[in-house]
Amino acid sequence: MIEVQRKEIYRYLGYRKIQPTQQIDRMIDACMEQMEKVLEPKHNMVFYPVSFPEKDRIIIGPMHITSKGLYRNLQNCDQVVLMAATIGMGIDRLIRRAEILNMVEAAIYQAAGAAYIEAYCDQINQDLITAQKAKGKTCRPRFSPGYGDFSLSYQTYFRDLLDMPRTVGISLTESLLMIPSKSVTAVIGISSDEKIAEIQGCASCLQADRCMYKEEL
Amino acid sequence: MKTLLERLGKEWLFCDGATGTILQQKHLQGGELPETWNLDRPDDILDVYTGYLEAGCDIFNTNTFGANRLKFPDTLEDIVTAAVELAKQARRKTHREDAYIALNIGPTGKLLEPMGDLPFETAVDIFGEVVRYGTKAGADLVLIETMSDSYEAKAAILAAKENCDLPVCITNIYDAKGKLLTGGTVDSTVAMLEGLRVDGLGVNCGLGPLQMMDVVRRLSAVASVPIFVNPNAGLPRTENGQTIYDVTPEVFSDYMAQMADLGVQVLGGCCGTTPEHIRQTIAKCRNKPFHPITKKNTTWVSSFSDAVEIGKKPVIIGERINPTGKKRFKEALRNNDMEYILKEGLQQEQAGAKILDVNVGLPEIDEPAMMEQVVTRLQSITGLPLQIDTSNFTAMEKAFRIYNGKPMVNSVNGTRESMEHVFPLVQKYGGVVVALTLDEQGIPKTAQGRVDIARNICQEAQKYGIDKKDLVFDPLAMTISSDTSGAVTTLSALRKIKDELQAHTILGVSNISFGLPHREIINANFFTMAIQNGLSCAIINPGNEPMMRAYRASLALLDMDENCMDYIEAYATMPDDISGTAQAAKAKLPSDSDVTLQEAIERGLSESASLAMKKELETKEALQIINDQLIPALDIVGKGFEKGTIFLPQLLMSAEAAKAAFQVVKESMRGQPQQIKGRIILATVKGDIHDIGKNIVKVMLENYGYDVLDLGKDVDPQVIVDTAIEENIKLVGLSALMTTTVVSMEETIRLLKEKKPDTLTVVGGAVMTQEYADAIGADCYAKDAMATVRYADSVFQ
Repeated sequence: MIEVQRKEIYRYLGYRKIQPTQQIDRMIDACMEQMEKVLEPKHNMVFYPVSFPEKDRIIIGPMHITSKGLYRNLQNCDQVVLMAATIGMGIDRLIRRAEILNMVEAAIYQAAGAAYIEAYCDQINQDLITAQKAKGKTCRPRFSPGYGDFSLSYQTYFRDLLDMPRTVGISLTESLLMIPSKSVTAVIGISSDEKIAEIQGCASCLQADRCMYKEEL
Repeated sequence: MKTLLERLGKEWLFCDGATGTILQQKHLQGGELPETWNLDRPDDILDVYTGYLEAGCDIFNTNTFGANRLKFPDTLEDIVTAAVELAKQARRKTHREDAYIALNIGPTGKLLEPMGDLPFETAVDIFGEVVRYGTKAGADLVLIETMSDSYEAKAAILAAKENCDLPVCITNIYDAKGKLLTGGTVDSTVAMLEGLRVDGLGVNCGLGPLQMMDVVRRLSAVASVPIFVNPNAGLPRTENGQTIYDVTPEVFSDYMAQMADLGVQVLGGCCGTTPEHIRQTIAKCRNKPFHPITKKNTTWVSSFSDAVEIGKKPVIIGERINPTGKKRFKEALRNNDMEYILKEGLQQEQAGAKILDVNVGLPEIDEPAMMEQVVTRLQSITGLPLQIDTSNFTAMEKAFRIYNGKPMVNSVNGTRESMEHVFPLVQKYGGVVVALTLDEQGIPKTAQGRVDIARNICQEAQKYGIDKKDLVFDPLAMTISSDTSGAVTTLSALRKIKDELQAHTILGVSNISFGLPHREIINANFFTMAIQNGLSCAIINPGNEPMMRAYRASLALLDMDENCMDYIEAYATMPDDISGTAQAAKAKLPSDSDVTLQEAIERGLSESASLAMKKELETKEALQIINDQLIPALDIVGKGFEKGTIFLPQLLMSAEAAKAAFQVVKESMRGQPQQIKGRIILATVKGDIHDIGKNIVKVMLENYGYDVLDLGKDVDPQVIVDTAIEENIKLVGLSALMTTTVVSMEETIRLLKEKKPDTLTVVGGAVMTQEYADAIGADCYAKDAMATVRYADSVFQ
């Protein structure tokens, strides 16, 4: 069961702090009911040691990455987890059907889909944090290919190292987009030091000043 | 020495176990491609093969699971050839010349169009290449494994059948709920695979033997060809970064001994299994009683996700995707209005159709191309099986080929020409065929005459290996207005086909009333009579309430509706005053009937908007209503959206309501020239498949009087430019979500400036900003749908 906060769906619909009308709320209820029937959450995780040959350069398994953002994120980490998660193909079909029958529902499914996959990732992330805490370790906020200067091209490594098509049913298009669309890949750094802020969210994003979907804290 | 087909399904045969597991023991690195070892470490591959041959397996797989030109653009032939050569060597070395070399083919790792971006024919090509190399090198069979998508499975099977004469077997990967990744069930998958005439099918990977048993039981219950079972050594767990399968050979083989009692014919192992797992499995199973697979008599049609059984109770086939007698539909076909066509499909699904008839035959259009488009789009949004309805054999073949599942096809008849064209297609691609009981002499006057033709068709079908269970006979409903014994003849033929031939039947029910007033009264009653005489399928409009009443009542009365549940569910809450169609009943809500057009649009009430527009048209001109009421209402909503007091869902609801009102206007203005403000191309650029933003812009632009040419997503710059030139378009709207695809946008704009400099461009999408827009040379940056509308207004002033 994925616990989703209603306000997250509102946020992805562009509502910010405002409560939608009852009519829209009922539509969201109906859409969520349909979604729950077709959700197929799956995830896979693999541990890798991480090393830093020089500043802004990171080596994880066969990946040799140059990224200021990822380097900063993984400071003082000796291990990383490579993660892939999805809520399945069913939601993509619901969106496609809705685009034919009722555009409003399509927008709601998109927003709800985004809220669900993020909630699922938060759950998986939290489980990891708890497990690592028992070993006296902390986790960094998850960092995905495509964030900042961590190139999207590393998606092919994720696909191969996690055997994504077979283990979680995620494949890549020619332009490295994931299908099903509500899928996430990420690096989660693990460290023995006590740095806080494990799941960071909007505050750390470079687009924070001009985003209409930013969370209001 | 016996061939595989002489033994398969007649005696126990055993497959090998995992390749990857053994190679990992030999230090295969994470991310390293195992097939490279065929060239770089052949001795290790020889070890893998000999290990399993010495353990006693009968069928062993070449190390080619991931071998295709996507992963090995330059060395594919060498890798596949080496794999087979090493297999032959292993056979000689272990004196197991009786063993069969299976050319192992796994998935490409890419998803096929339209869900993904790998074209179906490209997938067939990719697999075909591997099959050619493997066959040339001397494999004994093709074994396609770990297919999690029925469409990719079909591509692989066609590739095998079109590139070699070897036996073709396939195992799919099912999840714990018994489903394929892309949604297929055991029933729907088996229906398709048997239609494609595979020599063996089954399940591998994903689950351990215990977890796999439910799937195996279902396979045994529905399959008519030998079943392969290759489980993993349990479920994987991660320890110190390694993936471990910890079901031991002892435990594994004990489970496989249980598996052997479930009516399967071939046993082996997948991930985590070793020669020892196989050795012990063979020891415990070899002497168990062997049961050949029994032929099942159930008739199935299937989609990518569902199987529909024909014969247990009458099946409703939705008739609305058909231009005959439908002006609006013909218009949609001419204008390539896919949305209208697809909507008809989905609405019929909601009304209770279990199969959708698809007929797009119109002389002035390219029917094969349209059929391909409609089938592809439909099967990506609905899980209902489709009935391919055409007399154009090119269109029929195209549809058969790209259909994801086992289709129904309408139709074949008793003429030599028809059977010679249609039966070979059914033989190759699989399907359930509607067979009309007419021949070169025409339609027999008597019921017996029609039954005789049915019998002939049956016999002819046998020559193509097509079973009676895959035929559905249409004894033709001839209108009683020209022959009053028409219905009696048809009903008698139905009864005879059911009782004497023991075959399925179908009717286009409404033909019976052509030329009479209030056709629905005749149709509904005829429907009841036909069901009583054994009708298996009916092609009707499921949105027609009298027909659905006849259907539900008949089923309840003939004991085909358990506890009358379907009947009760449909009618328990219906008010006593019954009227016309289901939609009319729903629309009569008191709160909606007094709303003005303006209010309906502002509040996003589609039904009310239609009603209000109809009322207004009684006293005013369409254009006046649009300019005085509709557009101002939209503007209020639009301004609210821009200001941030009205949000996206409400904007879309208002847009839908306006669209409904416009539809009323279009209907009333049929035949008159349309008022179009301008024509605009919209596209999501190459490399990007995010299109909901573009689709929202499209809805808004159409509401404001623009004709939108929607080129879709992932669109090549050249296509956009060519369309702009061909159609002389003044404004092009481009959308992109990602920074990486802004490059395509730039390229598109550059090409447009070069080839058609008078066309303006407006750009948008989550990644777009004023700075980017200026940098790539766009004429306008639109931050949302309303901004696009404003710009369009300024351009087409």
